[in-house]
Amino acid sequence: MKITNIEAYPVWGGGRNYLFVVVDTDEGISGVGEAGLTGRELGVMGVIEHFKPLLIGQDANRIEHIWQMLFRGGFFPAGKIACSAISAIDIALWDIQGKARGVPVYQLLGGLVRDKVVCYPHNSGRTIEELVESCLRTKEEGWKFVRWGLPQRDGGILEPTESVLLAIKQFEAVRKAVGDEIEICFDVHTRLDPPDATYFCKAVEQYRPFFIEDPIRSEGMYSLRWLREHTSVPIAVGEQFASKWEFRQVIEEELTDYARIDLCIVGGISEARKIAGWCETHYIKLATHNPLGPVSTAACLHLNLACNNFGVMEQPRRPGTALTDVVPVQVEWQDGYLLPPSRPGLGIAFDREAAKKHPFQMRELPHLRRLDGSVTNW
Amino acid sequence: MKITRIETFLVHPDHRNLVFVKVHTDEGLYGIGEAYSCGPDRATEAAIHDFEEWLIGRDPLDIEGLWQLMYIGSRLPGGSVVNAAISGIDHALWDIKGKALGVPVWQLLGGKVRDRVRVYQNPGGRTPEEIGERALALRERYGYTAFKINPHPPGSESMPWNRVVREAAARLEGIRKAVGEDIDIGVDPHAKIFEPVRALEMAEALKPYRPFFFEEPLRPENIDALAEFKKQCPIPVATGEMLYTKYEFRDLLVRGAADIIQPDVCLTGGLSEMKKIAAMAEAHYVTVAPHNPMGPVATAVNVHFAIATHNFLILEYIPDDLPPRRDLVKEPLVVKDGYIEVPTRPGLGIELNEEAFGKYPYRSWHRGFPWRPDGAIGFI
Repeated sequence: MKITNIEAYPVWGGGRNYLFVVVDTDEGISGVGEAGLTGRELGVMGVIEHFKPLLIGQDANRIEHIWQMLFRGGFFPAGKIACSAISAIDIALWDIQGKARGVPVYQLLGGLVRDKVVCYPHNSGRTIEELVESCLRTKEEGWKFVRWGLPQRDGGILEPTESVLLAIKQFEAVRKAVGDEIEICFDVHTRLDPPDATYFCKAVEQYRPFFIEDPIRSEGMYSLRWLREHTSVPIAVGEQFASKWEFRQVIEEELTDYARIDLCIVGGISEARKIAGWCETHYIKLATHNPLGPVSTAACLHLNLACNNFGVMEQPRRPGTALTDVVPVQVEWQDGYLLPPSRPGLGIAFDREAAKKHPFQMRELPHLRRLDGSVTNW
Repeated sequence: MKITRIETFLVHPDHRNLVFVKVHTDEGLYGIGEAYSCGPDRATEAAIHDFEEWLIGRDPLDIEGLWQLMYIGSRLPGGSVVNAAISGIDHALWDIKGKALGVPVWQLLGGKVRDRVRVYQNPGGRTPEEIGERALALRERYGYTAFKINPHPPGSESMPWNRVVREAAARLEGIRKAVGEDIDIGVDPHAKIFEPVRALEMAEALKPYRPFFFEEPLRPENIDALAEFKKQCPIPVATGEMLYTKYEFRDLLVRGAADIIQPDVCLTGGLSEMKKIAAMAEAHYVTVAPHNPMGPVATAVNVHFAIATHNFLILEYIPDDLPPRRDLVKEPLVVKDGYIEVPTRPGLGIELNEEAFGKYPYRSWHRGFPWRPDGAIGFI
């Protein structure tokens, strides 16, 4: 089964772009993948153009071989942009493999270890009352988790102290409103430095968060050790990591409790399953990062269905409620869980013509500043 | 598809028992596997039948879930017998899945990363000359590009250490002279050395002949001692045949205690576990040279692993083309020019020759007792 073409489909989803990649073969089987480096889609597409001549004519069955070739072939180890391109291609190859064998991808990853995959949505609110309302609506809909992020001021301003103090009040209000049986995930989104992050984590311990995500920036994970010595809240990091090597420190030094693997950045299903097995030896669970589209959702779902050390999966909204023309067949959601697809491959459908109807629009991720005008992480 | 029963076969073709496993399903498909011959081989067989009770009625395609069921269900992390039993069953489940989907098992592990699998054999031999002669004859027959030798001469338990080291160097020199400079030669003290400093002395003596690796220089119980040893060892350190599951390999890798790891697919937890172990090793730039002293099914499982695993290095091998081992399977994998070709049949692509098993019934077996002159037991 030879690869005949590979094509990137950047799709404007209203507010952001999604980058899908389709791989075609001479046996008429095609697969779809998704790349995850939101805001740098053109860079990823450029890498895919470099990969195209390397891939055409290759045997689509040789997934691991192709991964090695793409990661190592350019001499310089693939960074985040190239890893995102590799991710999309790898996911598409697993989709093809499942279709070629007539089974869902989870069967190729060892088979089902669970019947369904619990996931958390995104909550928000301009005021504490709005946030509480959003969380209660989520609970009503049947989700088992709520999740929101570190608040900021209007006008793109982030001042750590006031954000932390407000977030602590949010925590108190949400826990009181949703009760004890709902899990709370909170995303600092790399916006704090270790002292503020530590103060915050200690203050919200009493509200029993499921995890605090990305309490500090991701470039120097050594700093997490200091934070962990001071707080008992579970930590989740990893969504910005490309390849197993970027995960090494947090896994082996046991700096995190949850691995936020982004399948569309880390190097696809092939790389994610390697990291997942490694995490198992350190009693670290997966909390797959998935702020992306329906292809990423399906890829995460298949991995989580076959992975014993799974914690929770991100699922910003119910599948089937967005991009329904581009991905007309999506995975199913019921009572806060995603269900195993029974269709071969990823179990979704991708409509290339529909994709072309929503062309790429230049859009930068939001930027935040401190009051003195200096840059701070979004 | 549902598992209906699990058969086991204890077969004694030459010097030890082999434990074969056959998992049957309600669709007529079956898979085969091989469990490590731990010595308490009837215990391994019994453990497999205990697991049989847990697995009957379950879907054999849920391999990872069934692995966790056996491992977690045993509660106490298993030792040799339980992990050997899990391993043999795991192989059979992958065989079933490959047959069910009509592809060789390596295709289910990410596909082909290489076109053939490099193997090596231990030629045996009592003296340096004999090792060299046997290696040359084997090279002639199988085209090997690598060998492995035992540095300890026969009767080493009774020898002064000074002589053991001298003879170890002479044995490596013997085969090196016979096969030339361009053949890789591993050296395997087989965890017989107790003191790290003695292993270091032997490593220094072997170094001039450029061994490919120094296998199990120390006992497996203390990884910290091995990590300390490796910092000083002038030749590559290989180990792992006595380690169970990814958890024990985690400790080895985190401490940087080995250059090459040697998990045994029949002991460490099967193919499912081998893939996880290899992935961890890849992150450490550590290669995998599987331990493979068992039968033809073990060789087949290892070959599928090797074809789909990029950081595979080389596979230990015992030829299956001559009786009595030739009798054990319908069509064993064969070596050409020192390599095994890629199997193409669905599943593991190998069939037990059950009709012949009656000729090789179970016999009580253990490794023997290497007594030292003072009456204490040595390592074997």
